[in-house]
Amino acid sequence: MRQIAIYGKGGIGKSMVSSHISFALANKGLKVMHVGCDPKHDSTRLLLMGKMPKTILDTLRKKNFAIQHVARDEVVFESPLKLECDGKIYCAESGGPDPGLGCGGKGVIEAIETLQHLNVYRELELDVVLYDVLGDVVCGGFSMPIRQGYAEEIYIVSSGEIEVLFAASNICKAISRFTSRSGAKLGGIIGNLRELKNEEDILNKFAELLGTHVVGFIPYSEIIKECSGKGMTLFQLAPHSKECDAFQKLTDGIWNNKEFSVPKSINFEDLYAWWKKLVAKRNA
Amino acid sequence: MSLKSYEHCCSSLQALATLGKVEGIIPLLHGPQPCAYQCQIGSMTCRPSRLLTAGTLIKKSEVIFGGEENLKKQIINMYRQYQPKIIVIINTCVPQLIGEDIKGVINEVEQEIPELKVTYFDSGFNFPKAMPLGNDVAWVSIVRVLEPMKKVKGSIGLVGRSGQDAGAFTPVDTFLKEAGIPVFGFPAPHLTEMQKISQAEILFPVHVVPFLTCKEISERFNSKVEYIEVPSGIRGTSGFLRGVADILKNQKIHDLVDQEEDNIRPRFQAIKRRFAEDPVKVLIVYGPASEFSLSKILADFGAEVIMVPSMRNKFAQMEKELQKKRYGLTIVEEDFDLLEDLNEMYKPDVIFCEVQGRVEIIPKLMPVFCNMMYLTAYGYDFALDIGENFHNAMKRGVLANWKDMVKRYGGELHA
Repeated sequence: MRQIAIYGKGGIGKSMVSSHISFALANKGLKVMHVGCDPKHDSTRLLLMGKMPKTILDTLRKKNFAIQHVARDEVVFESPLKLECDGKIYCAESGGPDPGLGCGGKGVIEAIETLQHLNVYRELELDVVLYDVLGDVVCGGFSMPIRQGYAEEIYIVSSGEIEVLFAASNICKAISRFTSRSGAKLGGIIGNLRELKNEEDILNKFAELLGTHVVGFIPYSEIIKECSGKGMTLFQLAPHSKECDAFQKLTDGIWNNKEFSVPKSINFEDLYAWWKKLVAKRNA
Repeated sequence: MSLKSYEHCCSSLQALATLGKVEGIIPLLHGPQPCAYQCQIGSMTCRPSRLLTAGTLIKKSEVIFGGEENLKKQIINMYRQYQPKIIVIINTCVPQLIGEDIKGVINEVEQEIPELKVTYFDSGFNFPKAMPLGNDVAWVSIVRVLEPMKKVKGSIGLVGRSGQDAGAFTPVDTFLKEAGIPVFGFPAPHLTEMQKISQAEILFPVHVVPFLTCKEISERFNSKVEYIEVPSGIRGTSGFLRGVADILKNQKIHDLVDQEEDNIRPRFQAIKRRFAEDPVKVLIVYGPASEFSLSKILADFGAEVIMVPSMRNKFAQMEKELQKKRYGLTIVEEDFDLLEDLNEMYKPDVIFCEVQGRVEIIPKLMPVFCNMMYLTAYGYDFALDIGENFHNAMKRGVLANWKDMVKRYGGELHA
């Protein structure tokens, strides 16, 4: 069983990308578990045909955190999209507190431990577990999939904007910190393009700087934005589109990836200097 | 890295013990069950007391989803059951970590119950190395909600440390009152009494602990703060009173002190002779800052004193300098692993160790000086009483009985 975590700056499109990866993996005939690790619990929405599932933490809360009273089908939901693909997709959302309250990080820890406790991964005989983790690794909780060996492969979704690159570099810091404990390594960068000039080149060079590679690019596209509004993936909405093809290629890139590394991280000043130089060259 | 024992006890415990004994105040421990348990046990070992330990008992669910609603419910519940005038939230580490909006909760509650005052302070890891700071921050939270009263001309305020200091100023304020000075004590056993501290023009701390309290009173009620010294022991009490006399330019206090010194001189000299005949080396390890007062009492009589201070605030620094200069005290600033290590290093005859914060077993039977009345350690009488009974108390039959038991049943002299 492969365990993959998708990280990236908030709003960069992690959930969109990861739900397409989950679908494409299932389409290969694999049993995939998609775990949303974000209090706003919208990662699996596209896989559940627009529905927001009941979260692990809400279920735990109702049962006073008595984990022994939680049943698997209360926290894991099978995607109805299974008819259109050969494999299976199971969805779980950690959930968490309302904005501004409590500790979302602790929530993620509890949610993942609940799945472990329920022995979900073994009982469902999964081939892949994919964690879609909240934006920045702001505290220990959000590094949970990296720590303790839950996810062995990390992919960072990034565009070519400086803030996004810096967030990616910060995530690399967390990966390199935990790699000796958990063995988790960076599998590469997923380029989610925002129509910047020479954006692919920026991302390729940025990946090189971190000691990794770009595993695939998703083009900037209006049709991808439609997915969210319609509550479905491109595989249902526009299965023959070039964007859908890009997701398929990205998934193949991840599935066949053999290049894993302990990434470097760069401080903001150095990154900014590097980025400015690159952009200046591009503009010239 | 070795295990250091300096981080003895949480300031929450001391705050709870402090606030829980004032009429009209209910301390509310906002924290998980282990915090409440530790405070409850701690307050039981502290001294015989029936403290109301009310708490929110934060559970995992509140850590994840937030505990503000629970806190609000508990405040209202406490108010309905006990009708306190003030509820003080002792905000422990966990709600601080998850960023609970305590001020916001207080605002909401005060809108619902205008007659109730709610205040709070952050305890726990904010004050990791000094349990007595729990006193200080607890009083700061109270001062914040006291209403100002009109100043009394020529008046002073004596500011102590814990709730037990309330009413314990008599050995000092008797002289001041006799000299015609209006004196207000803080803390006091009742809120209405405590309120009066706002009337004092000059504040004189009587202990090293209430540095933040004095600062808060001073800023809130525009009073001046003058630290002289802790009025304990013979010279300490005289030094404090004469210091007040000098600042207030009040000769009457000097006269009263002269008179009292004449009265007690024979007893003081006799005690000093006894200590000279039978020298004593005392190791005083932190308690609720009582090491600062007991060190003076015993050093006055000629005991060799090694003191491990529990406080590091400005008043404590001043007091340490004073005691080093006056008595040549040895002050141990370094952390240590075990009390036994200090025992080995200094080889004292007697150890004073306030055990409410941490219980440590010394694998040797040492005469341990337990001063359960430490909170009234001010003034001449207490010092004389300790001095006159010290040697006898240290030779009570406990040691002899213990030795007999060991002899009869075997084993070593382990305490």
